[in-house]
Amino acid sequence: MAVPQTDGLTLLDITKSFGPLEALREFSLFVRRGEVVALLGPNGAGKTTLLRVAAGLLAPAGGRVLVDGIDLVQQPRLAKRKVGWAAETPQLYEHLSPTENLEFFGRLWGMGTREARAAAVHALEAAGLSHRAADSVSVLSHGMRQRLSIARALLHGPSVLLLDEPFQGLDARARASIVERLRDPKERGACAVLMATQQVDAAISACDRAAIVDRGRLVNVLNAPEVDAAALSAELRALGGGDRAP
Amino acid sequence: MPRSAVLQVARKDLLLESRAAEQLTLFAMLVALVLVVFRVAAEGRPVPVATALWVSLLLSASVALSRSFHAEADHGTLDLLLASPAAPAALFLGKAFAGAAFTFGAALFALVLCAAFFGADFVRDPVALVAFLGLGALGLSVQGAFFSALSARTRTRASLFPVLMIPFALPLFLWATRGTVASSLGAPLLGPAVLADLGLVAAYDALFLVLYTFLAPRALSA
Repeated sequence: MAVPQTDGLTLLDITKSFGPLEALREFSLFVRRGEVVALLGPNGAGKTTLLRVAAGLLAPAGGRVLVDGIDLVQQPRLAKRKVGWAAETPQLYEHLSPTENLEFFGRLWGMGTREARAAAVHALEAAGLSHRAADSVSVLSHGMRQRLSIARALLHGPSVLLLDEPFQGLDARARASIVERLRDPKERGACAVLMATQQVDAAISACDRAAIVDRGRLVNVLNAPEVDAAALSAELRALGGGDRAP
Repeated sequence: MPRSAVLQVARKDLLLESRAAEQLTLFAMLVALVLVVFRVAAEGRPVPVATALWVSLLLSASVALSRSFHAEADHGTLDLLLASPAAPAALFLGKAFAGAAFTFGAALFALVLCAAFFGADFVRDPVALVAFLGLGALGLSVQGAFFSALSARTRTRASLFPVLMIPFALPLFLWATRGTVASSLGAPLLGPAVLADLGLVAAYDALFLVLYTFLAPRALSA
């Protein structure tokens, strides 16, 4: 398949197996910069595996991942510099403060000391966590950690933002806060967002397109404004992913 | 490889340890436990103090240093480190250098306990002793960081780690023990007995530091 775009995230014919289990089958999807795409599907459909391949954590058996046109397998360090990733469970150091966490990851993503410090201050403001900047992460609520995790993923101004179940375990208010963040024109103008979730309502309110995944294949791509969330939920329940992929 | 990533990882680990003291506490407890066993087993007979010192360090390192990458895997941050643009070799080196600091701290603690339990007669040449402890701490930490990385994604990582690490650390243990014994018997630091073993330990450190830096990407992707 020809490469149709250079900005944002391009997934081309991605194939990934775990032993005899085919977790992804010739999966192709393009996410432009400024666009939010939700990956929807039953447990084990391959959503997390796809995100891990796109983050460079799993090597695909076949196909290509391009970040702003840069091949993730051929130039991993250059491509990874442009990717932000937040997993289902917030990945943070509990004994460090939010500021220390952000500064550490900012430096790891190649920022200078001052740049990382300024970016951390800005990220905490944007996440509404400035008042908890010096607290230990261990005393923050799950919702605060999730917001901090997304702030960490956005810290270095990525071209591609990958979110795995960003609404997991959050109450309605915390979900709304994340949806609002994802719909922020400043954020959306900067990066292509691909998020895996099973929370259809929150996903539809946050995304431009919804990609339906089942058994490692892309089944359908829908424009969010045209989606009936209740009908889509029923359709997803009818799909038979089962707990397949790890 | 950017030096900055090495420093950041080492600095972060030292900062975390200064708050949680997870590895140092484990180290201290194990060192104390092994030395108490030596003390009880001796039943008043003379104890080869240098051997007790290095046995306590080897055994405690074979447990405590596993936390290097295992703790990252437990907290989910290992994936984040690997998703970063930092080279895997830089992550390994940062962990190895931070681990060397913890191991050296544990070695000094072991030294104090040895002196308390068995007397301080074995400290004939403090410079030689500190040199062996410093180089030994680095060597143990290099092995610890590498095998912690290699076993971090396995389900049996806690039990697998010492089985992998101890055989590779044995040459270091033998040379460091022999050199420390020679030093404690009054051999001069610049004499052939001590200097030869010090050189062997330094060469061991350099060899595995270079080898594992090269192998770190494969270990971390295993």
